[in-house]
This record gives sequence, C-alpha cells and structure tokens, in this order.
Amino acid sequence: MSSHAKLKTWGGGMVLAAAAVLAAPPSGTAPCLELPTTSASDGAAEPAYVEGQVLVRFKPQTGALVRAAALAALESRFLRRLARLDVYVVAIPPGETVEAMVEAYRRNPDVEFAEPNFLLRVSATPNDTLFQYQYALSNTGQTIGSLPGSPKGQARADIRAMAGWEESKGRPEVVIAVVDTGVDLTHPDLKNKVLNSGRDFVNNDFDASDDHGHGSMVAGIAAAETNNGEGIAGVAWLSKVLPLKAMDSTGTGSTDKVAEAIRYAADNGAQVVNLSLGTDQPSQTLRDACKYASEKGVFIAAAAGNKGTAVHYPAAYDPYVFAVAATDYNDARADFSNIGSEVDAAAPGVRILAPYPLALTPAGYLPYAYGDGTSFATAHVSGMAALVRSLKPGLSPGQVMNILRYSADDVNAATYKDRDEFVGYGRVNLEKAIVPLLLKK
Amino acid sequence: MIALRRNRAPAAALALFLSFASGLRPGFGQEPESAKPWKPVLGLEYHSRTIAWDEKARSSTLGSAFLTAGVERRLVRGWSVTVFVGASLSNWNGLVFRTLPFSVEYQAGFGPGFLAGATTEATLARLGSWDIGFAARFLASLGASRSLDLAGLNETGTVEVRGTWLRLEAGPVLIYRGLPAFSPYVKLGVDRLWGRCLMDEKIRDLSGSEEKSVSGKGWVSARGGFHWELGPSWGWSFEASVLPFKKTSGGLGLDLGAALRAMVSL
Repeated sequence: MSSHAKLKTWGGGMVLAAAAVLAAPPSGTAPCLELPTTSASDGAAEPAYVEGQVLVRFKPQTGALVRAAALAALESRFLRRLARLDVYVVAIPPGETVEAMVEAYRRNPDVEFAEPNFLLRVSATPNDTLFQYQYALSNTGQTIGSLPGSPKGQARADIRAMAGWEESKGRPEVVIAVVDTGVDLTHPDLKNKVLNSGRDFVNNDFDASDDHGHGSMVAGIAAAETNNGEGIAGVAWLSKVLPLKAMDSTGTGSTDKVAEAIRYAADNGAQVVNLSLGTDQPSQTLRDACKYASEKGVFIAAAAGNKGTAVHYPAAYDPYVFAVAATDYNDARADFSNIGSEVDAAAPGVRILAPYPLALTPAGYLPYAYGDGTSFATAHVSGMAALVRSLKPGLSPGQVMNILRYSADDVNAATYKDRDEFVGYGRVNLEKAIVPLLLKK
Repeated sequence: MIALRRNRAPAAALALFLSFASGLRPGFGQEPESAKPWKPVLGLEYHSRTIAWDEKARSSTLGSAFLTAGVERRLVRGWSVTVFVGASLSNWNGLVFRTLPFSVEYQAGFGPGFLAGATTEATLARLGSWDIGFAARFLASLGASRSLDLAGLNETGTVEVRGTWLRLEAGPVLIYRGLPAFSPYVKLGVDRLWGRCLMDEKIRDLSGSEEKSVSGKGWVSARGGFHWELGPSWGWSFEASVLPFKKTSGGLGLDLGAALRAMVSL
C-alpha cells in the first residue's frame, strides 16, 4: 500500500475528456427566466414581517392634519406612502413591538386598517436559468439539454430537491470541503460560495483555483449559488465550499496530498467532505485520514468509481465513508458505476450539468458542462448531507449516513429488493431525508 | 405567497358533563337546603386548544376528551371542592419534532392517558338576585406511552409517544338567581395550559429523543352559560367560552368552546 498511489477523479479525467464536452447551450439561447412562484415557507427562524415597521391606511375622509397627528400620537415616523394604495409605511418607536403598534393603530377610529409589513419569500423553485436541465434535482420528464437529440428523463427520477428545499436550504456555517482539482474562484455560480481561496496541496499555496474543471463541477453541484438568476442550482443553497486542491491539472493526485487535504478539512471547520476521487489500491494513510475526519464529526462522501468493478478507495472505507453509486435520468443504475457491498446509496450521475471554469470554457459556450460519473453523484450526496447537518447539527456522521440510507428510494427493487451492491439502499431522496414524516396510526 | 400562518379557525369545544350525586348541587345552580357533604360526580368533556411550541414560533391544536369520576365535598356553606380522576384521550396532531434523526409530524390522532383534577367553587357575596363567586379548575393529563410504526423508510422504524398537559382555569363568576330553576352565569378568568410531548425514535441503529414543550395560546377566557333545573333530580347546563390569543403571524385569533352538561341526582 503506497501512500503515494495515484488517485483519479471519478467523472473527471475520463468523463470530461470524452463525454462532458461543453454541451451547454451557446450564449444567447439560454432558457427563459423562471419567475418565482409562491412560497409556503413558515420557518421558525424566519421573521414573518419587517421589524420596526407597520402599514397603515386611514379612512378616506381623514384629513392630512389628522393623519399626521395620529402618527405623532403614537410616536411613529413617516417613511413613505404607497400613493395608489394610500397606505403609509411608518417606523414605530424603538422598544415597541409591531403587534402592539398594530393594535394601537387599529384602535384609532380614523384608521381603516393597520398591519405588519409582512415579508414575502420566493418559492423553493430557484430562478437559475439552467435549472430546467437539472433533472437530478427536479425531473419532470423534460429534455435534458438544448441541443437536438438531448435525452428525456423519467419524471420523478430525481432526488426530490424542491420538496426538500421547502424544509431547508442549508446554512453558511455548514461548510462542504471539496477535495479535488480546485474550484474556479471567479465563476459566477461559485465565487460567492467559496469560504476562501482554499488550500492548494499540489502547488503548496493558498490558491485552490481549478486548472482541470472537475472540482468546479463537483462544487457547483453540491452548492452552486442558487436563485441568483443565472446558471444552475446547487443542492445546498446556502452552504459554503472550502476548495482543497489535491488533484493536479490531469485529474490525478497522490494519496498523501488527498490525505493531507482530508485532515485539513477536518481541522478547519468542514462538516462535509466530498471525495469525488478514488483508486483501486487500498491505503492505510487514506483510511486513517478518513477515520480522523469522521471521528472529528465530519461526514465524508466518496465516489464508488466508474469502471463497473469493485468499489474503489476511499469509498470502500466503511464505516467512515459513504460510498455513492450513480443512477441516470430514468433512475436506472449507470453501467459504469462500481459495485460492491460498500455502496451505501446512489444519486444521479449521468448527464449532470455543472459549472465549468471560465478559463477552460471555449468561446461561444456558457461556462457549464454536462458530465457523467459517480463523482457527480457524490456531489449531490454531499449537498444533501450539508442540508441534513444544517437542520440537525447535533447528528454524528454515522447518523447522517443512516438518514441518507434509510430515506433512499429503492429504485431497483423489482430486481434487487432492499439493499444491494449496485445502488445500496437506493437513489437518495432529500424530501424523505429532511421533511417531517407523517406519523399516522 | 406571504409567509402567513394559516388563519386557524377558532376551535370549537363541546362538552358533556354528567354528574350524579346523592344531593344535587350543580356548580352554579340554586343552593339546596339539605345538601349532603359528600357527593359522587361523573363527567365527560371535550375541549380543544391552540398551542404554541418551538419558542412560540409554531402552533397547532391540542384536542382532548376525558371521562372522570370523583367526589364533591362541601367545606362550608357556599364553598365546595371536587376532586376527580379518569381516562383521557389527547390528540397532538400537527406537532412537529424536528430534532429527531428523522423529523416527524404527529398525525396519529388521539392517544390514551390518565387524568386527574380538582375544582373549587365559592360564593363570595350576594347582591339582590346576583351571586358573586369564584371558580377554579385544575386538570392534569398524563399520556400513556404509545408505540407507532414509522412508515416509508427502508428500515422498520418505530416511535414511542407520550404527552402530558396541565390546565388551570380561575376567575370570578357572576350568577343570576332571579329566575326559578334557571341560573345564567358569566365567568372571566385566567385560562392557562402547559404541556410536554415526548417522542423516542428508533430505526435500527438510528435513534433519538425529543421533548416538545407547548403552552396554550391566550391567557384569559370569558365564559357564559346557564344551568337549568328540569326536575328535582336532574338538570342540564350549557356553557360557551371564548379565548382570544395573538396569532404568530400577527392579528387576533379566537379559541371558541362550548360545554353541555347533564346532571342526575341519585
């Protein structure tokens, strides 16, 4: 077992070179913007209205002086008037509650109505322009891509992201460390999501820029900036990404660099580590790094591998690592996905749209690419783990693993009922993982 | 959509309270001349109450039905105390447990429990045809542990649920005694409810426990009703109540209630 065994990015080297060609729609043909629909959000932590403000409408016959006197009597400050609606936006005195002031205004016979300045929220349908191609998040049976011949998916062969987002969109404090080829720190879907410029273990500096593309794709799938009106949606809308470059520009990295990056992630606040890489050679160094991170409370997801053979390492390091297989847009196992009892679950990993480094994008193309591989399946799982940890910060890595396992959809139950070595417990399901289960008789 | 909470309709409560005693002395009825100091009482009641939880950010409705048996003791003229025990059914539907490994929303309806409580009533003054008094009631429901299957997961899961709640009502009573066999009354008083619901979750090696503290919304209820003596040995009464509370989304909500009682004297 060599601590310098070469690890490959799963979904990167071979897939990007062959299949993940930049098939994103050329500039000027981007999909129309999806306007937000209504929200059912009622989160406990989200305020229901603007603090310190009340909306007031006086009865039509009330004169200007009386209106001014009414505001003054309640020590309110006029902010502005919605002219066509004849509604005043007023600031209430410091120390007063909105509820009390609304009641006070309602008691005034000259007031037609008074109410809090309620907050409206966008729905959990993101407005990212390429979201319609992300079948992995929401599969309606749409065509996946804008080019002729693009495949169509089977409705609901997805991770139920939209339902899950109604429950949580993540928290910035939950950091996903992406141990990979780096992350494009300037990409419009990533630049605001990276925690900092990261750590480059290949060149031994603190600029983990991506010179390959794989790491940016993985980071974007897990946590691209979402609802920003462009690009794609990430699974964990609000989580941050810690870029850790342990793989070089060919998509290859040594065990010592990867192990060092895993330890770095665990020591620098990451709660989730994404390892879309692997080798068929076991390594005690790598295993120990995974053990170290897991025992520090870090959830680790790793790609099972893309050769249709036995599960690679570090994915095979039970119980420290969650091994992810790949399914496609029909919920069928991808034929390249590795096999073994270590597979915990599967996630979409075929024709996955993801951010691609600006510097590597040919002219005339959007900086997004389609890719295949268990790498990209793993990124979905990492995003989900970040959402679970955002909601339930007290859970151990093992508990998070079990939540993802037990909530998965057994998509190949017709041939392999229950857990199997192809898709583990099944394709992960964010809705079942985090939305409250209904307890009935 | 505005992040408004659903405008919960005021909960309607309907109660049937049966009591039988060797010498009938209904709570706010005419004072019998020869009341016995001890009287058995049997009661059946239902009420619902809007409850707040998660630091009052969320709300649902607690429904409860109970059957009780007890005894009333006259301490001095115009002052009585009743203690009772019985079986209760509590419905915690809508309560969501979000810190369990798998979040769970309780929708399993009524669960059984044990109920105990006490009532005291006292006449403080009589002004013409009006009696001014004081009434208070304390209820405690201890839910039995209930095991339920957690469906929809790849592994068999179960949860154990048990809920407890306490309710205290206390305040003045004004009773009109000017009509034969018919005594209308009004009450205004503090009406508080506190509770806890514990859920243990177990799915193979995944387990967790969460205790949810709840409190009734609103502090003061107003009640109005009447007692009607239909004969020397039986009567009935009706009571309606309104309990205002501040809704989480702003504005005022109302819990409405009604109670129907029939009393038999043995």
